[in-house]
Amino acid sequence: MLGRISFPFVLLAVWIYLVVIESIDLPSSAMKFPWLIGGIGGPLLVFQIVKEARTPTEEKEESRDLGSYVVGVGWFLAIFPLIVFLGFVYGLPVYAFVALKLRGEGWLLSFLLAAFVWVFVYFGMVRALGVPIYEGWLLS
Amino acid sequence: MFAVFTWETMPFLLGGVTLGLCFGLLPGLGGLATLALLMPIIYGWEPAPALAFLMGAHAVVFTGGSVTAVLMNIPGTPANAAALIDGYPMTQKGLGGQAVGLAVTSSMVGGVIGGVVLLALVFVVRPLVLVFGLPEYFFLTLLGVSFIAVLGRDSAVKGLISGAVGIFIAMVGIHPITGIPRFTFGSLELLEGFGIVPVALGLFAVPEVLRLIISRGAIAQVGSEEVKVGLKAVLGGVRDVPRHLRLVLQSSAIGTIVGIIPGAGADTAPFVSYGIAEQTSKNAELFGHGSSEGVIAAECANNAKEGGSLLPTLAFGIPGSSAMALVLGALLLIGLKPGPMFLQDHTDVAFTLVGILIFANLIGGVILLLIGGHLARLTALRGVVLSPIVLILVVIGAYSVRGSLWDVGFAVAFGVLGWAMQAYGYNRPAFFLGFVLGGMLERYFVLSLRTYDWVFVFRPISLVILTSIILVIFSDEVRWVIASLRRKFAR
Repeated sequence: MLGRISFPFVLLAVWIYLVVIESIDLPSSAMKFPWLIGGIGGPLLVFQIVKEARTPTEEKEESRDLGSYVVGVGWFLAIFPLIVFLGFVYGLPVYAFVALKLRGEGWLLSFLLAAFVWVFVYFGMVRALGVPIYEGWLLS
Repeated sequence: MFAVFTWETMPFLLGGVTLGLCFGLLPGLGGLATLALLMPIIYGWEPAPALAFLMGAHAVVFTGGSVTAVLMNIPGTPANAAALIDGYPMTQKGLGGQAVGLAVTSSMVGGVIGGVVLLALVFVVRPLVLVFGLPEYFFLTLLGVSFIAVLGRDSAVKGLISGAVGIFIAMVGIHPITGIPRFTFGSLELLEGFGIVPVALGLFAVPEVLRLIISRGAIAQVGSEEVKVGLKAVLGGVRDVPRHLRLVLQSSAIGTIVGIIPGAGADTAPFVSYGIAEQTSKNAELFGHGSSEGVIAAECANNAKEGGSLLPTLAFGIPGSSAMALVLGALLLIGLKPGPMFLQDHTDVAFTLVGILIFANLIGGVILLLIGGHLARLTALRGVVLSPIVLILVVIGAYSVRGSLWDVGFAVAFGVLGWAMQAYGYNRPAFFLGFVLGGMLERYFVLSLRTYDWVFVFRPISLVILTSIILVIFSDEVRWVIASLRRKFAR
């Protein structure tokens, strides 16, 4: 039950802060719409919290392996420091290679996919389309 | 005669179509970005190849975007987000090939119908568009927003909350009327507000990437022997489209009409069409769980709206969508001046544009149907292999629109929100619809109020649209009343 309530509860807290505290100093024409939408959304959130609180907890909760979550989120977040330090042209192929190799794929597949990513970013984005790509903290 | 359909110009049309499909398949590079990136290329070209190249690319970019939407839950363009509501559940059931066939054929047919309707309406639509003022635009946008109630049918309250949060998020940035920053917390990066692409990628794609990484499984959540891909599966989807002829015509008409009205928000056409399809379907309970009707409704309207939005662009010089603003610029670049006299002075160009729209949709559709089976095979790939590729596409997509690392961060932040919404049963499409329409809704509301005071509510067309809104929100109750009356009279 706590999980089901926590999400609308967090939303309600943010909602109250934005609608009441952040909007209060705005001029009336800029304040009208946030208050209008806030006036609709706030009561709905309260209604939802009350409804969730009154709904009996289901016996069978989905089992969650915390370890796999942490590892998964870690892999997901690993791409960002690589981009920041190595930029898109080198950071993304390195990520593709490392993510594949360290998670059990073979050398050939890891290398080929990393090469494909490099060709795609360098020739597709930088050369052909002229997209101004971030070069990375270490290389710029 | 304006020479587009000649052997000399055809390669430019084919080149444009191919590029448009590639741009559509890449998340983030939607119709607007495609035109923006290709426009400098046509500078100095002759009008015929320039138009064939540019419009060919633009016509099919949404068709390409529908493929990644249904296969990977990554809307290639924001307008493709409606197609994933039912397309992605189909793929998860192992019906990726059929979903591609459905989405591509619907896009193709919708695009062709949009072009034909444009051809039919090109000289008669002027009075229709001119009667729409600010209040009517406000109510049209409100009509779009009211479909939040339809999208949140599983839990109306959660749907409305999701929509309201989306509208609120759209308020971040500079207030359109007063120019005052709102909810930016002093951050320069938030002054422009959140981009549509990072929000769409975050809400829909990031949770899927996380799921793929954590589960290590494939997108299709069935055994590999049950995954139906290949040309045969794609053709199964193709054959499904003519079986829903009424829906195809209805959705294409809705897309064209929404597209014709400048400022109505062309990206909302697929959502409006989806909502109406759900309300009028005999199998409404299947919507959101892999209904072929849902995919058809969204994608027919998506491509049909392009024909519609070309109409005010040519006839009045008023772009029907943000992408059409670039088409307008491109026409000026090659020496053509859209406006009231354009259809009279350049009838051949207008008809040629319609021809390009129709041919590009047909060519693009056939190309995608041929390779669609191979693309659908991606859904059977293991998560370990697919997840880095999808994550890289998401990162590039979020970054490429404004060239800002902040947008990548925003995509991640919205990914966390999308993941939580998914986990607790909140409605992501409703959030997205609220976000897309929120800014427009506020602008028209404030301007209508300033110009007409509250009397704006009582203008005849406003009242008609308001009635439609009430019917949308209370459709179940209206159906119940009609059924009760029928039973009463039958007795």
